[in-house]
Amino acid sequence: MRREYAWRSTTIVSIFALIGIAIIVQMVRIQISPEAADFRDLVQRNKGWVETVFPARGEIYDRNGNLIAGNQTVFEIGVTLEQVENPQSIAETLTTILDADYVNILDKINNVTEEQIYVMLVDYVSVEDAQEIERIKLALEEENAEKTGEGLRSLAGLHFREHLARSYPEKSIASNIIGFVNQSERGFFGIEEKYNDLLAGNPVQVWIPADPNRVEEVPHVPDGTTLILTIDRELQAATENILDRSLYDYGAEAGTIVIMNPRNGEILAMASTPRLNLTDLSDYNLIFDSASEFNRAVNMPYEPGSVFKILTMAAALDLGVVTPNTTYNDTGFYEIGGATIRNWDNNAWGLQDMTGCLRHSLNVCLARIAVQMGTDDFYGYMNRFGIGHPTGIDLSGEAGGRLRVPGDSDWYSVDLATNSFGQGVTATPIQLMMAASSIANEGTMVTPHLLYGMVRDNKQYNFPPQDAGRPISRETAIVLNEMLANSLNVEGSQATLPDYRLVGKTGTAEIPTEYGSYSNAQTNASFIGWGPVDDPQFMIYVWLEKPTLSIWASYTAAPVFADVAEITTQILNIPPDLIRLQYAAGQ
Amino acid sequence: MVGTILAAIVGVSMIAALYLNITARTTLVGREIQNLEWETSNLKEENANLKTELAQLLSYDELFKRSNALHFHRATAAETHYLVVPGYESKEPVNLIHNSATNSQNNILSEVYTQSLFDWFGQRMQGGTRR
Repeated sequence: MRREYAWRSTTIVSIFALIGIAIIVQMVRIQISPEAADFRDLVQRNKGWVETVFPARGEIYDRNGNLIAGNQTVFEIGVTLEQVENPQSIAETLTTILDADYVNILDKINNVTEEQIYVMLVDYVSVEDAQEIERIKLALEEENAEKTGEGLRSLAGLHFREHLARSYPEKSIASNIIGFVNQSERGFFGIEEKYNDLLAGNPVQVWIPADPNRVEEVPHVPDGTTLILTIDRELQAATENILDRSLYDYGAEAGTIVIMNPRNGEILAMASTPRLNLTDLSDYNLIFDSASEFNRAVNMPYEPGSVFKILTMAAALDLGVVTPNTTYNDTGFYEIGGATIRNWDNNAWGLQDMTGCLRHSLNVCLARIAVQMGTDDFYGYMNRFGIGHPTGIDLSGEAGGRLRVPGDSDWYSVDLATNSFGQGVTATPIQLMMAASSIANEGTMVTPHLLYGMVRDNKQYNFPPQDAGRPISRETAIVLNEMLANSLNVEGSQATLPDYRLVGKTGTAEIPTEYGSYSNAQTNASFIGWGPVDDPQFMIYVWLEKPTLSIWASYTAAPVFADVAEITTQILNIPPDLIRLQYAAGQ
Repeated sequence: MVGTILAAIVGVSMIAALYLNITARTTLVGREIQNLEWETSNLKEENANLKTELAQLLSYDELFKRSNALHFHRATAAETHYLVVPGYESKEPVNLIHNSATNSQNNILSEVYTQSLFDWFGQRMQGGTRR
């Protein structure tokens, strides 16, 4: 029986053996065949591909979580050359819908090298426009399916590639802080430039294997870091509105308003004119004459005038050269280095104490004090206040201003006197705010900053405030705070706010001309102030360039300060002094 | 002899079939991962678009227009009344991670997918003790 059926088993084994041998033979044949090299190339080509992965750019939020800069889909439109049937149709369609240059598009399609298989025609096309072009393409394909012949309108070969690009939902709000990203995905100005490396992440070239079994070999490319800023969108927008209105009301050429928390250096709002609508960067060259105009608060140093007097007085009080009760007889002029220093009104103000000196903003008084201090002490203190050095604020292109000191070829002895009241020295608003923060913050100066925190790898890192030194003692700061509050709260002052006790100082500075003299017809009107006096929660700097309604800061910058202070107390929920003190007493 | 060869062929075939089956399943899972990654990338893009769209709808200018249309105006100092509310704490800056979707995803992920065998055993033991 077994022998009877043995031939069947042998046959099955033989068949299997033959199949096995045939497979092996075929494998060897393929390996050594003339086409083997082609097969190997084909395998190599289809094994995978190298791709540069650009991480999504990190987002930017304000302190309350409002998106200031995000990302949105845009399209790159190009052509796969061998599929193109009618280049004219493509150029015509892109010109009609995207307002592209017809000749340029046609030129790109026609003037290609032999190796080229794809040409990019336009990039950053909105989703709506791309969809419209795609719709036309499909319609033409349907239409052409029923026709034959050459010269038919066709968008064949048109290729759409979507990718993310920067979006700015708030348009021009805070644009002077944020900066922008160009089409090469590089940040320009402001936060976008300063933190470009963090926001952009690291583009990585990765090998993408086609084999699904090797999927885990593809590295994960993390997105750019998301940033949270210290600014408050509502306050920023309100400040910009006030600034724009002020330029109109007072006929000023340009201006800036900055609001900072003097306790920790957080910038709450920073408005500057002119501003760019970040959704339409093509206006940049029309709006700005120079890069320093992008953000006047940090990029443009100027002679600040009398707001500088608070630093001179702080230094003199700290050094013990004067006390609040020190008196002197103001004769209206003071001679030094062959020059005569005069008060703003050319008048003599008689017997004055130091509060009166600040209240009436007397140049003669401050010049005398600076001379009493001497060059070493005066410039030593100014150096400690950071005058002449950038503050280190996290915005690109910060200017350091210029403080000429003895030993410099262009320093003269009269400079000591003029510097004491803010002429002959240049500083940016942010430098003066940092210096003044020492007075508001019991002697400790804070570094102004815009970065509150960042989000990376699903963790939020918040940054602690940084001190920038202690140029004056706590006692000096408290005394000067009180002096400034008393000097501000006088009848007729336009910088006061009902129910709030504030501190402030005006500054009307003549503008140096190109001939080295000063123009007394045009001024820079400034105001620096903070409040509430007993617990400063905001510091405001106003600078109006060349106001025409009045050249005096007390009639221009001072009321603007009051407006900004009012809106700041409302938006930051700072109750009037009485209620706040009642609440504090009840705690 | 023939039986041995046949047995060997059957054995090899079974191993080959098993190998093929495992490889096919791995490939399918790999393809699924590729698809999911592609989907993740698409969802991230869609998410970015929706965030921008939402931010545009809630932008300062839009809210201002809508509030004006509803006849709202910003309260003036005279219209603002302050009340002492015990325990009130002023608004702190945003914590984006606290609100993020990623975090909430972590919370809804069942422990089955995260705990080790020892964790599970410990949990069962504790559950038994409590009972």
